[in-house]
Amino acid sequence: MTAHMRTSAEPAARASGARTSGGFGVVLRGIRKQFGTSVAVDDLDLDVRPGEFLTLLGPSGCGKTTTLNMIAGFLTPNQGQILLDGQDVSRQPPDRRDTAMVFQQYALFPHLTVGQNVGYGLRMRKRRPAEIRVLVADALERVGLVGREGHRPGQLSGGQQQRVALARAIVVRPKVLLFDEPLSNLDLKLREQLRLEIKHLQRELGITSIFVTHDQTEALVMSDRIAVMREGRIEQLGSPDEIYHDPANSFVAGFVGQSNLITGTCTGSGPEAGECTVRLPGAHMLPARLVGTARPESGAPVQILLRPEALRLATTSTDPTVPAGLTIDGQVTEVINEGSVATVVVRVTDALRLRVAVPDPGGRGLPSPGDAASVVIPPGVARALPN
Amino acid sequence: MNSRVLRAVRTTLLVLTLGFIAVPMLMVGWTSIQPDTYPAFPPSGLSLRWWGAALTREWLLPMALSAQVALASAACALLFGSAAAYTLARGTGRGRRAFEAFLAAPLLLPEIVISLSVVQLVSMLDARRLIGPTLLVATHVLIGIPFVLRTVGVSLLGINPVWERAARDLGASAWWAFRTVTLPLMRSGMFAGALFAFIVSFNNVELSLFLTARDSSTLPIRLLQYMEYEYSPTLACVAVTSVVGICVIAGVASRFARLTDFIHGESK
Ligand SMILES: Nc1ncnc2c1ncn2[C@@H]1O[C@H](COP(=O)(O)OP(=O)(O)OP(=O)(O)O)[C@@H](O)[C@H]1O
Ligand SMILES: [Mg+2]
Repeated sequence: MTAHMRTSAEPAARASGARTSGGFGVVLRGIRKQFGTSVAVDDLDLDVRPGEFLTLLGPSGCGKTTTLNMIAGFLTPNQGQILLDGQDVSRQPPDRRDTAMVFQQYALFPHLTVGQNVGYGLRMRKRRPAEIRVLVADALERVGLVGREGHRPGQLSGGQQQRVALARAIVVRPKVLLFDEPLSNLDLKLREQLRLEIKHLQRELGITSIFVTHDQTEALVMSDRIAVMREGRIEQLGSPDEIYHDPANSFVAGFVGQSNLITGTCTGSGPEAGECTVRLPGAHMLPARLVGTARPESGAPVQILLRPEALRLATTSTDPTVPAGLTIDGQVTEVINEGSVATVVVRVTDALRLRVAVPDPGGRGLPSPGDAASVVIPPGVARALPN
Repeated sequence: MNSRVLRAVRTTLLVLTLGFIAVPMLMVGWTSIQPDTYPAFPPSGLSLRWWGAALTREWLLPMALSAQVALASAACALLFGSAAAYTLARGTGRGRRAFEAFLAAPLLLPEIVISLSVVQLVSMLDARRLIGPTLLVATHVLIGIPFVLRTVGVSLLGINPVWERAARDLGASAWWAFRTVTLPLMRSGMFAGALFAFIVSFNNVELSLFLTARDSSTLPIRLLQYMEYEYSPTLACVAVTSVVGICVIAGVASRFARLTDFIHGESK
């Protein structure tokens, strides 16, 4: 897989009617979907902005696919409205909605050639054969599969098949592109590459996209905004940065990224506005910024989030490269070296174990289990989450 | 060493199987091209004397009727069987198992009993004039459907429903998605099923026994009637002719779809 997708806008794009800006909005209002008595999607509101890349992220069974299928028209919501470009489409069949989906298992038609697969939607739209040929060639070029029109899907690798599926979806220039875990059948290298290619293509075409995944890295890398879902509801909607640094609650914090989630006790308001002071297990006092609706009363338990990469490890108490901050002494219990980053687990008390990320651990001499070590918590990195 | 023994066993089994299948056919073929009424061993020579009587209206008319009945019943079995197979494959209801078993039920009942009960039914309804091609087709459809159900069912197992969904997503109506995606992938299963249905109808004796009109019989019934009174190697010639006919039809059909190839994988 050496082919790369073309990333610059070229004349063919104009010929095929690509919009340079704009895109169409998708609005979900009070959507609810039940299967029998179990509720898959529960009173969901979502406003997808024109041209944006929005990811639905959440654990297995949280209702991502169900939501996407309702937007595509494969499922009808029990309640609520779906507006596509301002029009209520919730009761329309899939062929009457201007959406195009890229499926997890590619879903290419096995009896048709690559060219016929990509041209399928255009034939349904009654475009002329000559025009279809040009558009299909353009779409295949965009996904880095020049001249593969005559191949059968079965002759292509998984990655190539998913590129064909992508070409088949973008060639009709839908108002919305829908992706249901399109990369999860591919190996890691290919997945990382295709992530970026899909993202570039989407930005270039300006087509509003809704992407479903349970892979948080994928979501963080690709999205303009992420909606984190749990049990049929959206827990938080925000930019990757907001989701990562200011998770709305401990579920989001735990699901996205590595985290230390510690239960402490609030002892009063903090040194600055919007902070509270928390007593950690082991009696250390730590000011933490309040997130969202968190307003713990004095004496109440409070969840503290500390990202491992925000913490510093000091093996000697006078290490000059370590910034000022709360220093907590403990003992190393585990060292996990992944090459570009290592995670060191430091036990302070039984109730307080801190994971510290050490970037580029190669030249730094990692501690060994059993060594004494200090964890430094720089000011401003702790978050107090609502319960 | 071990593998050579295995190979020898496999080869022996294969030869025995092929011989077992071939002997009756060779016997029929041989009977049709030798001079004696009761073929002797060692053979007394070659002769086409029986063929003159075989290729006459007496035999060609029943053969034509059989072909027509088989064609019509195969077509109906194909239609109903495919529809049923599709319903079974895509349905989610609780009654699926029962429905499938019910469709195959005619295979469990002795065919002669079915034939008899059909005669009783039409007598009761005072509709004996239906006896003849109409009722032949109607009853042969019963045993054709299970074959179509099976072959098309296997075809459908290899057809991922997500393909039809993708077609709908790209703007195809429900009918057009079926027409352009599912149907082409079902085609070889349909051909295979229709061919089986044709053959079981063409060769059927028991169902046809009470249902042929006096003046026109299907080929197997005509053969039976003939043998009640006399025996002649002409029968072998007739049999050879019908086998050749069926082979020609199968050959033509396989030009449209490889018959054994009705199983699709995701990667094909
Ligand atoms: N056709 C169905 N019939 C019954 N229950 C269903 C059906 N489809 C989904 N569900 C249920 O609805 C819930 C949400 O399913 P959904 O497929 O939307 O989850 P998901 O977030 O896409 O999960 P995954 O990451 O595993 O794909 C699950 O509990 C699932 O069991
Ligand atoms: Mg899913």
